[in-house]
Order: sequence, then C-alpha cells, then structure tokens
Amino acid sequence: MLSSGLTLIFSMMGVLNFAHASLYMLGAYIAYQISVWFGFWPALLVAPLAIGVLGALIERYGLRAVHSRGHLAELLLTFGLAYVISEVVKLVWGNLNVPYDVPSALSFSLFELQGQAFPAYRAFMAVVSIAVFAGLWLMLKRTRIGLIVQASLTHPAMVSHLGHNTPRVFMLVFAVGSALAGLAGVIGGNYLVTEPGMAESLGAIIFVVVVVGGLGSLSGALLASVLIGIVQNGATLVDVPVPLTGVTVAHIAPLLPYILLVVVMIVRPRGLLGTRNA
Amino acid sequence: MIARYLLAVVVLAALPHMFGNDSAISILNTMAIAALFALSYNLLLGEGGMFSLGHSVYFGLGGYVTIHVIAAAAQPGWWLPVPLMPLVGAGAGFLFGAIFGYVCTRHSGLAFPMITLGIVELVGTAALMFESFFGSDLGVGGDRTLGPALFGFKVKTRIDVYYCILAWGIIAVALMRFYIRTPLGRLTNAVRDNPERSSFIGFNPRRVRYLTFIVAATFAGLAGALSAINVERMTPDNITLFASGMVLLMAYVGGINHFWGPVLGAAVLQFASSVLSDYTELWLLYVGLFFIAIVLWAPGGIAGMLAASWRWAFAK
Repeated sequence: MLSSGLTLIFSMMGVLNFAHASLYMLGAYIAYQISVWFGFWPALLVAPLAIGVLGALIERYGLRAVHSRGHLAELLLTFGLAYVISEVVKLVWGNLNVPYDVPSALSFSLFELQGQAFPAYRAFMAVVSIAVFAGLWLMLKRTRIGLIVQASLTHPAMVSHLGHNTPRVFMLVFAVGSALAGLAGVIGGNYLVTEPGMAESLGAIIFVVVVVGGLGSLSGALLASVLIGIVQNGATLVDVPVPLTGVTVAHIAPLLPYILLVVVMIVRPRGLLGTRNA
Repeated sequence: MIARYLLAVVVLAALPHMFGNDSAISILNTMAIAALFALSYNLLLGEGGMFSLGHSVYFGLGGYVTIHVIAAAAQPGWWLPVPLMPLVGAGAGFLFGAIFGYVCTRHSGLAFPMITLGIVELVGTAALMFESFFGSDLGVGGDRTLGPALFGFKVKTRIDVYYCILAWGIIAVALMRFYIRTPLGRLTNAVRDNPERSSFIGFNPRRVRYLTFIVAATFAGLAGALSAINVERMTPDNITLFASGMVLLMAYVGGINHFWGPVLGAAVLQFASSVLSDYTELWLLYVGLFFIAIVLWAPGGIAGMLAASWRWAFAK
C-alpha cells in the first residue's frame, strides 16, 4: 500500500528521484520530532509541508541547475542527496530506531476478523491514502492545473510558449511529490519502524515496481505494486522446496520481486503497461 | 610517452618502500584495487554512458569464486598458484556479466540504472540466504600463503600482495586503455552519444552495450579477485547497493571524461574512508556533500578541474 503510493508519486513527477525514499524517511523523522513536541495531529500537517518546502528547494537550486545536462546529472544529484539525507538523519536522531508510535487516539482495534484484531490505524492509513490519491487523480485528470502539469511533462517547450512558467510548474510538481512522500513517512513511520535503514529497504522496491509496471505509466505502477505484494506475501505461505537449492519457496520470498523484474525485462522489456521503450 | 609510463611504473614499484609501516601499505593495496574497480566502472559510465548501480555484483562474485579457489588451494595436489588466481575472478566476472548483462543492456537511459539496481538487490539478497557459498555475515575466508608457488613467488606479506596487484593492475589498465581505442571501444562512445545514428550506420547499440558491459564486468571480477587475495576474506557486504554506490562516487568524483579520473577519485575516497573515518563518523556526509558539489559545479570531476587549471596556468 505504502510503496504503491510512493510509486505513483514517483511516476507522476517525471524525474527519477533516488532521494524519494529518503524524503519518505525524513518525513517520518520530522513527524516523530513534532509529535514529541506537539502531538501527532500537528505533525500530520506540518511534516509534509516541511518536506514539500525542502523538495521545492532541491528542485530550484539543485535539479534546475543540472537540468540542461540531461537525466544522468539529475539522477546523480538525487543519488548524492540520498547519501546526505541518510547521514543527516543518523547525525540528528542516531543510528537506532526512534520510538515513533501510533497515536493513542487511534491505537485501538476496529473489529475482529477471524480472531485477528484489525487496528484502527490501518483503516486510518487506508482512508488517508485513498483520499490523497483520489484527490490527486481528479486534479491531474479533470482540472486545468492537471492539464498544464501533464503537458509540461511531455511538451515543456510548447507549454512555455503558451505563456506558462514551466520551471515553476516543475518546481511545484516536485514539491507536491516530495510532500506526499513525506506524508507517507508520517503515516507509515509509526506503523512500521522509523529507523535509518528504512529508506534503503523501500527504495529498491519502488524502482522494481516502476520498471515492472512500465516507465511513465501510473496504472502500470499500481498493477505492478499489487502484483508484487501478492506474489511476495503469497510466497511466504508456500512450503514447497525449490529444486537444487535446498530451501523452500517461502524462504526465497524476498528474492521474488527481483526475479519478477528480470523475467519481465526478458519477456516484455517495456514493462507490463508501458507504452514506450525507455 | 613510453618514458612517462615507465617512470610511472618505477614510482609505483618504489611506493611501498617509501612508507615503512604496514598500515600504509595496506591502504595502498585497497586504493589500488579500488582504482582498478573504478576504472572498470568507467568503461560503463564514462565510455558507454551506462549508469550502473550493480557493478559491485561482478566485483563480489569474482571475489567469492576466487576465495573459494584460494581455500581449495590448501589441499595437496592443487596446481593453480595464487598469483594467477585473478584470472579465475576475471572469468567469473565475464560469466556473470554475460548472464546479467544480457538482461540489463536491453535498455538504455533511465531503465538501465533501475534494472542494475534490481540485479544487485537480487544477488545481494541471495548472498544472505545461501550461506553454503556466500558464508554468513563473516563471509568466506581463505589462506593466500598456501598452494604452489609461481616461479618461486608466493603471495605472503602485504608487499607481495602489492606487487601482485601492481602486475595485474598494469596488465588490466593496458588492456582497458587498449579496449577503448579499438573500433568496438569507439563504437561504445558512439552509442553513448547517439544510439540512433549508430544503429543507422549498421551497428546494433544493444549489442555494443552488451559487449562493453561484459568487458567491464570482467575487469570488475579481476579487481574482486585481487581484493580476495588482499584481505583473504569475502563478505556479503561486497555485493550491495552501497558498494556499487561507492564505485560510482569514485569514478564520478575523479572525473568520468578522463581515462585516469577514476584513479584519482578512488585514491581520494579510499583515503577519506580509511583516514578521515578515524577522525569523524560523518565522513560519508562530507563525501556526499562533496559529490553533490561536483555534480553541480564541476561535472568534469577532479581530473576536469586539474585539466582546467593546467590550461589556465599555461595559456598565453
């Protein structure tokens, strides 16, 4: 769920952003800090805003400067940022997990399903993410703003000839994308664990999902993330030995997304729903 | 030109004798291995425009195969001497480069880094699972002093390792420099700059990328083998995104448009990681900031800055 959300933002921004998962991590940490001072609800609002501002600054003073040198320079820049953010996080909050917990107002069990308690916080996460994505989808597909954003990603020169400030559009898109990554960190960091390795463990999966789904395809990314989620969680239940290795299918479940990536690349290089070859 | 190279070789051969202590020599060894690894990486990034995040796979697998062979050399009747074992690592790099490269090089541009990232995660995760080959967290060890000698030469002390690295380094650097001057190496540049045009004149860009990928993986495997001989141990840490990122940083910081750039970058970053890390735990933060500064303001890297200041100083 979380990674599918991150993936969607990722494909929307049109920039391959290595620091995306780092911004997600930073969002969780800032939310932790604010929730220590003022409580969870202010954190839910302020942390994404802070990450959004940071995203705008990164775009304005980093990405824009290297944009003319092409995608490679952008990619390298965000790669360096990922290092810096992860070191800063370790510097400020230390190497261990921080005790960022689910707010007490939401830490009760909503209902029971076959004897398993369903935590209310999970429902809250689902509601927030669905609301955000429904809003995002409507804005991109149904409003004039969305039209300009989409056009700027595919035909930046034409859009700027029509009188729109495309650099500012890019900056805002990047800021919104960063803010949403931060939001994912705010609502995911306390449900999972907030620790310095969280960016790295998520980052690789995001890349796999984007490539398997097909570059630049929102619905492909959604499909791929659901597929990978099912395959990975399903495999942990299969107790059949894999030939030649002496382990069971359940044992190699963490490998499956990457195996899926390789298979898709061989069978269908453009990805599941990709329309163009990268 | 030849005189200059001979002088460089003499200086390099004399280098370990200028520093008396063992720790300096061991830093030299890791630097030299990193330099070789970074040079092989630059065949991808600098020459071929392929931004790989999975180059540590070939370094690591080359090293793992070699360490198993070193361990096997302890048995009686073994015929392959340790100084020749980098060939085994290069062979492993070649083999795995041919396998994984086939998948990776189907794409160029932005999908390429993501697929190589997928491969490094695949192999890295597998390395933690299959302990019989990769060992546990401690990895696999071997003793380089056992096994037959090569014309009376055995790799025992750190200086022996240094000369072993130096000999293989000279061979590898000469071959890499030769490679980029072959028609295939020139085609690699052409594919980097304009894949469409090179396919119009009859060369399949995917095939050119694939061949260069295999060559780069072979030399990475060689560097991995030298590392296995140097530390006598290979751990799963060697096959991670972090390890791949370090070689990327080395090549880019040094300068990817210049053949010797990655050597400078490797020297600087290895120095940072082994000396600076004694003073501060934040060395990686400084390395990251330095890298961002290079990307923003000096895309030519250290080599580019040196060349520019050279031109500035001697321009009339």
